[in-house]
Amino acid sequence: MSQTSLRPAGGDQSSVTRPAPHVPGEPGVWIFLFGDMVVFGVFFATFMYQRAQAPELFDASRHTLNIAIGLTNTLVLLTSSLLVVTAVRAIRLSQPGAAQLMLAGALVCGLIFIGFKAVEYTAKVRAGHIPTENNFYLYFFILTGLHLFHVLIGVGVLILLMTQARRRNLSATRMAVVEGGGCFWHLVDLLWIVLFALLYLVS
Amino acid sequence: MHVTIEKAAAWLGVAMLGGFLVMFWFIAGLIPPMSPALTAEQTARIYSDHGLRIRIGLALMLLFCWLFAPFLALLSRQVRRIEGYWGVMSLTQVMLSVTFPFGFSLCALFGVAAAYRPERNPDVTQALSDMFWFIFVGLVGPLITQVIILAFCVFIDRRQVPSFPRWFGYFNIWYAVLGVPGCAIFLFKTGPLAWNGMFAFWIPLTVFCIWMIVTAIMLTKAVDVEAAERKARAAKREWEPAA
Repeated sequence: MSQTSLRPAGGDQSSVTRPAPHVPGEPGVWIFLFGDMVVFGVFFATFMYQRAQAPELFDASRHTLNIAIGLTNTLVLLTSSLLVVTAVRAIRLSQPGAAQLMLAGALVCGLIFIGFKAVEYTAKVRAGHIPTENNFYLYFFILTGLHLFHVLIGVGVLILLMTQARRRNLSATRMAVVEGGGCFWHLVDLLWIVLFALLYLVS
Repeated sequence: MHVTIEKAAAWLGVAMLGGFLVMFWFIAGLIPPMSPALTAEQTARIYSDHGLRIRIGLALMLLFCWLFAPFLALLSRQVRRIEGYWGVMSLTQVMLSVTFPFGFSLCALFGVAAAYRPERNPDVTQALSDMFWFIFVGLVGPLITQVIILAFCVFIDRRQVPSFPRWFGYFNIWYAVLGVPGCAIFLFKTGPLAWNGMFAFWIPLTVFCIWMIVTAIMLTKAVDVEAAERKARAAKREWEPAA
Protein backbone atom coordinates (compact mmCIF):
# COMPACT_ATOMS: atom_id res chain seq x y z
CA MET A 1 0.00 0.00 0.00
CA SER A 2 2.75 2.44 0.94
CA GLN A 3 4.47 1.98 -2.41
CA THR A 4 1.48 3.36 -4.27
CA SER A 5 1.53 6.60 -2.33
CA LEU A 6 5.21 7.05 -3.19
CA ARG A 7 4.37 7.16 -6.88
CA PRO A 8 5.77 10.39 -8.42
CA ALA A 9 2.91 12.81 -9.11
CA GLY A 10 3.83 13.88 -12.64
CA GLY A 11 5.71 10.74 -13.62
CA ASP A 12 5.02 8.59 -16.61
CA GLN A 13 2.29 6.26 -15.35
CA SER A 14 3.21 3.38 -17.62
CA SER A 15 6.79 3.20 -16.35
CA VAL A 16 5.74 2.99 -12.71
CA THR A 17 5.91 -0.58 -11.52
CA ARG A 18 2.80 -1.59 -9.69
CA PRO A 19 3.37 -3.51 -6.47
CA ALA A 20 2.44 -7.13 -6.98
CA PRO A 21 -1.03 -7.81 -5.55
CA HIS A 22 -0.70 -9.37 -2.11
CA VAL A 23 -2.81 -12.43 -1.42
CA PRO A 24 -3.13 -13.02 2.34
CA GLY A 25 -1.55 -16.32 3.25
CA GLU A 26 -0.57 -18.24 0.16
CA PRO A 27 -2.74 -18.77 -2.91
CA GLY A 28 -3.13 -22.45 -2.03
CA VAL A 29 -4.89 -21.80 1.25
CA TRP A 30 -7.73 -20.14 -0.65
CA ILE A 31 -8.49 -23.45 -2.36
CA PHE A 32 -9.42 -24.73 1.07
CA LEU A 33 -11.16 -21.53 2.22
CA PHE A 34 -13.26 -21.02 -0.92
CA GLY A 35 -13.95 -24.75 -1.16
CA ASP A 36 -15.25 -24.73 2.38
CA MET A 37 -17.34 -21.61 1.76
CA VAL A 38 -18.93 -23.18 -1.33
CA VAL A 39 -19.91 -26.28 0.63
CA PHE A 40 -21.31 -24.24 3.51
CA GLY A 41 -23.21 -22.29 0.86
CA VAL A 42 -24.79 -25.60 -0.19
CA PHE A 43 -25.59 -26.34 3.49
CA PHE A 44 -27.28 -22.95 3.89
CA ALA A 45 -29.23 -23.42 0.67
CA THR A 46 -30.41 -26.84 1.88
CA PHE A 47 -31.56 -25.26 5.13
CA MET A 48 -33.43 -22.49 3.29
CA TYR A 49 -35.09 -25.07 1.06
CA GLN A 50 -36.23 -27.11 4.08
CA ARG A 51 -37.43 -23.92 5.77
CA ALA A 52 -39.55 -23.06 2.75
CA GLN A 53 -41.23 -26.49 3.12
CA ALA A 54 -42.46 -25.71 6.67
CA PRO A 55 -42.17 -21.98 7.41
CA GLU A 56 -44.47 -21.96 10.47
CA LEU A 57 -42.65 -24.84 12.16
CA PHE A 58 -39.25 -23.25 11.55
CA ASP A 59 -40.40 -19.86 12.82
CA ALA A 60 -42.00 -21.32 15.95
CA SER A 61 -38.88 -23.38 16.70
CA ARG A 62 -36.65 -20.38 16.07
CA HIS A 63 -38.35 -18.57 18.95
CA THR A 64 -37.33 -21.32 21.36
CA LEU A 65 -33.64 -20.54 20.72
CA ASN A 66 -31.74 -18.41 23.21
CA ILE A 67 -30.78 -15.26 21.27
CA ALA A 68 -28.66 -14.00 24.18
CA ILE A 69 -26.29 -16.95 23.91
CA GLY A 70 -26.17 -16.66 20.12
CA LEU A 71 -25.44 -12.95 20.25
CA THR A 72 -22.80 -13.36 22.96
CA ASN A 73 -21.08 -16.00 20.88
CA THR A 74 -21.17 -13.70 17.85
CA LEU A 75 -19.50 -10.93 19.84
CA VAL A 76 -16.95 -13.39 21.29
CA LEU A 77 -15.96 -14.55 17.81
CA LEU A 78 -15.80 -11.01 16.42
CA THR A 79 -13.50 -10.04 19.29
CA SER A 80 -11.30 -13.04 18.63
CA SER A 81 -11.08 -12.13 14.93
CA LEU A 82 -9.93 -8.63 15.88
CA LEU A 83 -7.31 -10.14 18.22
CA VAL A 84 -6.05 -12.42 15.44
CA VAL A 85 -5.71 -9.49 13.01
CA THR A 86 -3.73 -7.56 15.63
CA ALA A 87 -1.61 -10.61 16.39
CA VAL A 88 -0.70 -11.15 12.73
CA ARG A 89 0.28 -7.49 12.52
CA ALA A 90 2.43 -7.88 15.65
CA ILE A 91 4.13 -10.95 14.18
CA ARG A 92 4.90 -8.99 11.04
CA LEU A 93 6.44 -6.21 13.18
CA SER A 94 8.47 -8.85 15.09
CA GLN A 95 6.78 -8.31 18.44
CA PRO A 96 6.49 -11.89 19.67
CA GLY A 97 5.30 -10.94 23.15
CA ALA A 98 2.35 -8.89 21.97
CA ALA A 99 1.48 -11.43 19.28
CA GLN A 100 1.39 -14.31 21.75
CA LEU A 101 -0.75 -12.33 24.15
CA MET A 102 -3.27 -11.50 21.40
CA LEU A 103 -3.34 -15.10 20.20
CA ALA A 104 -3.85 -16.34 23.75
CA GLY A 105 -6.80 -13.93 23.99
CA ALA A 106 -8.23 -15.26 20.73
CA LEU A 107 -7.78 -18.81 22.00
CA VAL A 108 -9.66 -17.97 25.20
CA CYS A 109 -12.46 -16.50 23.05
CA GLY A 110 -12.57 -19.73 21.08
CA LEU A 111 -12.86 -21.76 24.28
CA ILE A 112 -15.57 -19.43 25.60
CA PHE A 113 -17.48 -20.02 22.36
CA ILE A 114 -17.20 -23.78 22.84
CA GLY A 115 -18.29 -23.43 26.47
CA PHE A 116 -21.40 -21.44 25.58
CA LYS A 117 -22.22 -23.92 22.85
CA ALA A 118 -22.02 -26.76 25.38
CA VAL A 119 -24.32 -24.84 27.75
CA GLU A 120 -26.75 -24.17 24.90
CA TYR A 121 -26.78 -27.80 23.69
CA THR A 122 -27.33 -29.09 27.22
CA ALA A 123 -30.22 -26.67 27.82
CA LYS A 124 -31.83 -27.62 24.49
CA VAL A 125 -31.58 -31.35 25.13
CA ARG A 126 -32.91 -30.91 28.70
CA ALA A 127 -35.91 -29.02 27.28
CA GLY A 128 -36.58 -31.94 24.93
CA HIS A 129 -35.33 -30.21 21.79
CA ILE A 130 -33.36 -33.04 20.23
CA PRO A 131 -32.45 -33.50 16.53
CA THR A 132 -35.29 -35.97 16.00
CA GLU A 133 -37.92 -33.52 17.33
CA ASN A 134 -38.39 -31.71 14.01
CA ASN A 135 -36.49 -30.60 10.92
CA PHE A 136 -35.54 -27.26 12.42
CA TYR A 137 -33.73 -28.86 15.34
CA LEU A 138 -32.22 -31.49 13.04
CA TYR A 139 -30.62 -28.73 10.98
CA PHE A 140 -29.85 -26.62 14.04
CA PHE A 141 -27.73 -29.37 15.57
CA ILE A 142 -26.10 -30.43 12.32
CA LEU A 143 -25.19 -26.94 11.10
CA THR A 144 -23.98 -25.66 14.48
CA GLY A 145 -22.22 -29.01 15.02
CA LEU A 146 -20.34 -28.75 11.73
CA HIS A 147 -19.43 -25.19 12.64
CA LEU A 148 -18.29 -26.31 16.09
CA PHE A 149 -16.08 -28.87 14.34
CA HIS A 150 -14.51 -25.94 12.47
CA VAL A 151 -14.04 -24.04 15.74
CA LEU A 152 -12.19 -27.05 17.18
CA ILE A 153 -9.90 -27.15 14.12
CA GLY A 154 -9.51 -23.37 14.52
CA VAL A 155 -8.39 -23.78 18.14
CA GLY A 156 -5.69 -26.15 16.87
CA VAL A 157 -4.71 -23.57 14.24
CA LEU A 158 -4.46 -20.82 16.89
CA ILE A 159 -2.16 -23.02 18.99
CA LEU A 160 -0.02 -23.56 15.87
CA LEU A 161 0.09 -19.78 15.34
CA MET A 162 1.21 -19.29 18.94
CA THR A 163 4.17 -21.60 18.39
CA GLN A 164 5.09 -19.60 15.29
CA ALA A 165 4.66 -16.24 17.06
CA ARG A 166 7.55 -17.10 19.37
CA ARG A 167 10.04 -16.85 16.49
CA ARG A 168 11.54 -13.46 15.73
CA ASN A 169 12.16 -13.52 11.99
CA LEU A 170 9.73 -15.70 10.12
CA SER A 171 10.60 -16.99 6.67
CA ALA A 172 8.25 -16.07 3.84
CA THR A 173 6.68 -19.55 3.96
CA ARG A 174 6.08 -19.40 7.72
CA MET A 175 4.61 -15.91 7.44
CA ALA A 176 2.28 -17.20 4.72
CA VAL A 177 1.24 -20.09 6.97
CA VAL A 178 0.54 -17.62 9.79
CA GLU A 179 -1.59 -15.43 7.52
CA GLY A 180 -3.38 -18.48 6.15
CA GLY A 181 -4.16 -19.63 9.68
CA GLY A 182 -5.50 -16.18 10.51
CA CYS A 183 -7.71 -16.30 7.41
CA PHE A 184 -9.09 -19.66 8.54
CA TRP A 185 -10.10 -18.17 11.88
CA HIS A 186 -11.85 -15.34 10.05
CA LEU A 187 -13.69 -17.94 7.97
CA VAL A 188 -14.89 -19.61 11.19
CA ASP A 189 -16.11 -16.20 12.34
CA LEU A 190 -17.77 -15.41 9.01
CA LEU A 191 -19.58 -18.76 8.86
CA TRP A 192 -20.92 -18.22 12.37
CA ILE A 193 -22.28 -14.78 11.51
CA VAL A 194 -24.21 -16.24 8.57
CA LEU A 195 -25.34 -19.16 10.73
CA PHE A 196 -26.44 -16.87 13.56
CA ALA A 197 -28.51 -14.78 11.18
CA LEU A 198 -29.96 -17.83 9.47
CA LEU A 199 -30.90 -19.82 12.57
CA TYR A 200 -31.67 -17.19 15.21
CA LEU A 201 -32.82 -14.08 13.36
CA VAL A 202 -34.40 -14.63 9.93
CA SER A 203 -38.14 -14.84 10.32
CA MET B 1 9.63 -47.36 -19.02
CA HIS B 2 8.65 -46.96 -15.41
CA VAL B 3 7.50 -43.37 -16.04
CA THR B 4 4.91 -44.88 -18.38
CA ILE B 5 3.94 -47.53 -15.85
CA GLU B 6 3.55 -45.04 -13.02
CA LYS B 7 1.51 -42.61 -15.10
CA ALA B 8 -0.65 -45.52 -16.18
CA ALA B 9 -1.19 -46.32 -12.48
CA ALA B 10 -2.34 -42.75 -11.85
CA TRP B 11 -4.80 -42.81 -14.76
CA LEU B 12 -5.99 -46.28 -13.77
CA GLY B 13 -7.24 -44.61 -10.56
CA VAL B 14 -9.38 -42.23 -12.62
CA ALA B 15 -10.58 -45.07 -14.83
CA MET B 16 -11.57 -47.04 -11.73
CA LEU B 17 -13.43 -44.02 -10.38
CA GLY B 18 -15.44 -44.03 -13.61
CA GLY B 19 -15.86 -47.79 -13.33
CA PHE B 20 -17.12 -47.49 -9.76
CA LEU B 21 -19.71 -44.88 -10.78
CA VAL B 22 -20.88 -47.01 -13.72
CA MET B 23 -21.11 -50.19 -11.62
CA PHE B 24 -22.83 -48.64 -8.60
CA TRP B 25 -24.93 -46.01 -10.35
CA PHE B 26 -25.90 -47.32 -13.78
CA ILE B 27 -25.63 -51.09 -13.43
CA ALA B 28 -26.57 -51.75 -9.78
CA GLY B 29 -28.75 -48.64 -9.44
CA LEU B 30 -27.66 -48.20 -5.80
CA ILE B 31 -26.93 -44.50 -6.37
CA PRO B 32 -29.03 -42.48 -5.53
CA PRO B 33 -29.23 -44.47 -2.27
CA MET B 34 -32.46 -45.94 -0.91
CA SER B 35 -33.80 -44.30 2.22
CA PRO B 36 -32.68 -45.72 5.57
CA ALA B 37 -36.23 -45.03 6.83
CA LEU B 38 -37.75 -47.77 4.62
CA THR B 39 -39.30 -50.76 6.37
CA ALA B 40 -37.72 -54.20 6.10
CA GLU B 41 -40.36 -55.23 3.53
CA GLN B 42 -39.75 -52.17 1.34
CA THR B 43 -35.98 -52.67 1.50
CA ALA B 44 -36.28 -56.37 0.68
CA ARG B 45 -38.58 -55.52 -2.25
CA ILE B 46 -35.90 -53.29 -3.80
CA TYR B 47 -33.35 -56.12 -3.52
CA SER B 48 -35.72 -58.66 -5.05
CA ASP B 49 -37.07 -56.38 -7.83
CA HIS B 50 -33.60 -55.23 -8.88
CA GLY B 51 -31.74 -58.31 -7.64
CA LEU B 52 -30.06 -59.20 -10.91
CA ARG B 53 -28.69 -55.76 -11.73
CA ILE B 54 -27.51 -55.26 -8.15
CA ARG B 55 -25.69 -58.60 -8.22
CA ILE B 56 -24.11 -57.91 -11.63
CA GLY B 57 -22.96 -54.41 -10.65
CA LEU B 58 -21.52 -55.47 -7.33
CA ALA B 59 -19.95 -58.64 -8.75
CA LEU B 60 -18.10 -56.48 -11.27
CA MET B 61 -16.99 -54.22 -8.43
CA LEU B 62 -15.74 -57.23 -6.48
CA LEU B 63 -13.70 -58.26 -9.49
CA PHE B 64 -12.31 -54.87 -10.42
CA CYS B 65 -11.99 -52.81 -7.22
CA TRP B 66 -8.48 -54.23 -6.73
CA LEU B 67 -7.37 -52.12 -9.67
CA PHE B 68 -7.39 -49.16 -7.30
CA ALA B 69 -4.23 -50.69 -5.80
CA PRO B 70 -1.65 -49.41 -8.35
CA PHE B 71 -2.95 -45.86 -7.86
CA LEU B 72 -2.53 -46.21 -4.09
CA ALA B 73 0.89 -47.81 -4.52
CA LEU B 74 2.00 -44.78 -6.50
CA LEU B 75 0.58 -42.49 -3.83
CA SER B 76 2.51 -44.35 -1.12
CA ARG B 77 5.71 -44.26 -3.19
CA GLN B 78 5.48 -40.51 -3.57
CA VAL B 79 4.95 -40.09 0.18
CA ARG B 80 7.99 -42.33 0.68
CA ARG B 81 10.01 -40.07 -1.65
CA ILE B 82 9.10 -36.98 0.38
CA GLU B 83 9.86 -38.73 3.65
CA GLY B 84 13.17 -40.03 2.24
CA TYR B 85 12.98 -43.53 3.72
CA TRP B 86 10.33 -46.04 4.76
CA GLY B 87 9.23 -44.05 7.79
CA VAL B 88 6.00 -43.87 9.74
CA MET B 89 4.16 -41.70 7.22
CA SER B 90 4.87 -43.84 4.17
CA LEU B 91 4.26 -47.09 6.03
CA THR B 92 0.95 -45.82 7.41
CA GLN B 93 0.08 -44.76 3.89
CA VAL B 94 0.79 -48.30 2.64
CA MET B 95 -1.23 -49.93 5.41
CA LEU B 96 -4.25 -47.70 4.89
CA SER B 97 -3.97 -48.14 1.12
CA VAL B 98 -4.53 -51.85 1.72
CA THR B 99 -7.88 -51.08 3.34
CA PHE B 100 -9.09 -48.99 0.39
CA PRO B 101 -10.07 -51.80 -2.02
CA PHE B 102 -11.36 -53.79 0.95
CA GLY B 103 -13.77 -50.95 1.78
CA PHE B 104 -15.31 -51.33 -1.65
CA SER B 105 -15.21 -55.13 -1.75
CA LEU B 106 -16.58 -55.66 1.76
CA CYS B 107 -19.58 -53.44 1.15
CA ALA B 108 -20.14 -55.11 -2.22
CA LEU B 109 -20.08 -58.54 -0.55
CA PHE B 110 -22.87 -57.52 1.85
CA GLY B 111 -24.81 -55.99 -1.06
CA VAL B 112 -24.68 -59.16 -3.19
CA ALA B 113 -25.56 -61.23 -0.14
CA ALA B 114 -28.66 -59.06 0.39
CA ALA B 115 -29.74 -59.52 -3.24
CA TYR B 116 -28.78 -63.20 -3.52
CA ARG B 117 -31.90 -64.81 -1.91
CA PRO B 118 -35.04 -62.78 -2.65
CA GLU B 119 -37.26 -65.39 -0.97
CA ARG B 120 -35.73 -65.05 2.49
CA ASN B 121 -37.00 -63.18 5.58
CA PRO B 122 -37.00 -59.40 4.82
CA ASP B 123 -35.43 -58.63 8.22
CA VAL B 124 -32.27 -60.49 7.22
CA THR B 125 -32.11 -58.67 3.89
CA GLN B 126 -32.49 -55.35 5.69
CA ALA B 127 -29.65 -56.18 8.09
CA LEU B 128 -27.36 -57.08 5.19
CA SER B 129 -28.42 -53.94 3.37
CA ASP B 130 -27.60 -51.85 6.45
CA MET B 131 -24.14 -53.39 6.52
CA PHE B 132 -23.70 -52.49 2.86
CA TRP B 133 -24.51 -48.81 3.47
CA PHE B 134 -22.59 -48.57 6.74
CA ILE B 135 -19.40 -49.76 5.07
CA PHE B 136 -19.96 -47.93 1.79
CA VAL B 137 -20.84 -44.52 3.23
CA GLY B 138 -19.85 -44.64 6.89
CA LEU B 139 -16.34 -46.08 6.82
CA VAL B 140 -14.53 -42.80 6.20
CA GLY B 141 -11.68 -42.98 8.72
CA PRO B 142 -9.00 -44.75 6.66
CA LEU B 143 -9.26 -42.48 3.64
CA ILE B 144 -9.39 -39.31 5.77
CA THR B 145 -6.26 -40.41 7.64
CA GLN B 146 -4.49 -41.10 4.33
CA VAL B 147 -5.44 -37.70 3.00
CA ILE B 148 -4.28 -35.87 6.14
CA ILE B 149 -0.91 -37.66 5.99
CA LEU B 150 -0.64 -36.68 2.34
CA ALA B 151 -1.40 -33.02 3.19
CA PHE B 152 1.18 -33.09 5.97
CA CYS B 153 3.80 -34.49 3.56
CA VAL B 154 3.10 -31.75 1.04
CA PHE B 155 3.65 -29.11 3.72
CA ILE B 156 6.91 -30.52 5.09
CA ASP B 157 8.49 -31.18 1.68
CA ARG B 158 11.62 -29.01 1.87
CA ARG B 159 13.39 -30.30 -1.25
CA GLN B 160 14.49 -27.90 -3.97
CA VAL B 161 11.88 -29.19 -6.41
CA PRO B 162 8.96 -30.50 -4.31
CA SER B 163 6.85 -33.33 -5.69
CA PHE B 164 3.56 -31.53 -5.09
CA PRO B 165 2.55 -27.84 -5.08
CA ARG B 166 1.54 -26.48 -1.67
CA TRP B 167 -2.05 -25.80 -2.69
CA PHE B 168 -2.46 -29.54 -3.11
CA GLY B 169 -1.88 -29.82 0.64
CA TYR B 170 -4.70 -27.40 1.38
CA PHE B 171 -6.86 -29.19 -1.15
CA ASN B 172 -6.35 -32.43 0.76
CA ILE B 173 -7.34 -30.78 4.04
CA TRP B 174 -10.49 -29.52 2.35
CA TYR B 175 -11.33 -33.06 1.28
CA ALA B 176 -10.59 -34.42 4.76
CA VAL B 177 -12.93 -31.90 6.43
CA LEU B 178 -15.77 -32.59 4.02
CA GLY B 179 -15.33 -36.35 4.27
CA VAL B 180 -15.91 -36.40 8.03
CA PRO B 181 -19.76 -36.04 8.08
CA GLY B 182 -20.03 -39.54 6.58
CA CYS B 183 -19.16 -40.97 10.00
CA ALA B 184 -22.47 -39.66 11.40
CA ILE B 185 -24.76 -41.91 9.33
CA PHE B 186 -25.03 -44.44 12.17
CA LEU B 187 -26.98 -41.88 14.21
CA PHE B 188 -29.62 -40.81 11.66
CA LYS B 189 -32.39 -42.42 9.64
CA THR B 190 -33.58 -39.25 7.89
CA GLY B 191 -32.21 -35.84 7.04
CA PRO B 192 -28.92 -34.61 5.60
CA LEU B 193 -26.73 -36.86 7.75
CA ALA B 194 -28.57 -40.09 6.89
CA TRP B 195 -26.76 -42.33 4.39
CA ASN B 196 -28.79 -40.86 1.52
CA GLY B 197 -28.41 -37.28 2.79
CA MET B 198 -26.84 -34.21 1.26
CA PHE B 199 -24.06 -33.81 3.87
CA ALA B 200 -23.21 -37.45 4.47
CA PHE B 201 -23.53 -38.81 0.93
CA TRP B 202 -23.78 -36.37 -1.95
CA ILE B 203 -21.15 -33.84 -0.91
CA PRO B 204 -18.59 -36.47 0.17
CA LEU B 205 -19.20 -38.41 -3.07
CA THR B 206 -18.70 -35.28 -5.20
CA VAL B 207 -15.60 -34.29 -3.29
CA PHE B 208 -14.22 -37.84 -3.51
CA CYS B 209 -14.58 -37.78 -7.30
CA ILE B 210 -12.84 -34.39 -7.51
CA TRP B 211 -10.10 -35.65 -5.18
CA MET B 212 -9.42 -38.79 -7.25
CA ILE B 213 -9.09 -36.76 -10.47
CA VAL B 214 -6.95 -33.97 -8.99
CA THR B 215 -4.74 -36.46 -7.15
CA ALA B 216 -4.22 -38.51 -10.33
CA ILE B 217 -3.11 -35.38 -12.20
CA MET B 218 -0.81 -34.35 -9.34
CA LEU B 219 0.69 -37.85 -9.21
CA THR B 220 1.56 -37.76 -12.92
CA LYS B 221 3.34 -34.45 -12.31
CA ALA B 222 5.17 -35.89 -9.31
CA VAL B 223 6.32 -38.77 -11.55
CA ASP B 224 7.77 -36.18 -13.96
CA VAL B 225 9.57 -34.45 -11.08
CA GLU B 226 11.03 -37.77 -10.02
CA ALA B 227 12.11 -38.63 -13.58
CA ALA B 228 13.89 -35.28 -13.96
CA GLU B 229 15.63 -35.82 -10.63
CA ARG B 230 16.78 -39.27 -11.70
CA LYS B 231 18.09 -37.90 -15.00
CA ALA B 232 20.09 -35.19 -13.22
CA ARG B 233 21.52 -37.82 -10.85
CA ALA B 234 22.47 -40.06 -13.76
CA ALA B 235 24.26 -37.17 -15.48
CA LYS B 236 26.27 -36.57 -12.33
CA ARG B 237 26.89 -40.34 -12.04
CA GLU B 238 25.38 -40.44 -8.56
CA TRP B 239 24.09 -43.67 -7.17
CA GLU B 240 20.38 -43.81 -6.63
CA PRO B 241 19.64 -44.21 -2.91
CA ALA B 242 18.37 -47.63 -2.03
CA ALA B 243 14.61 -47.77 -1.99
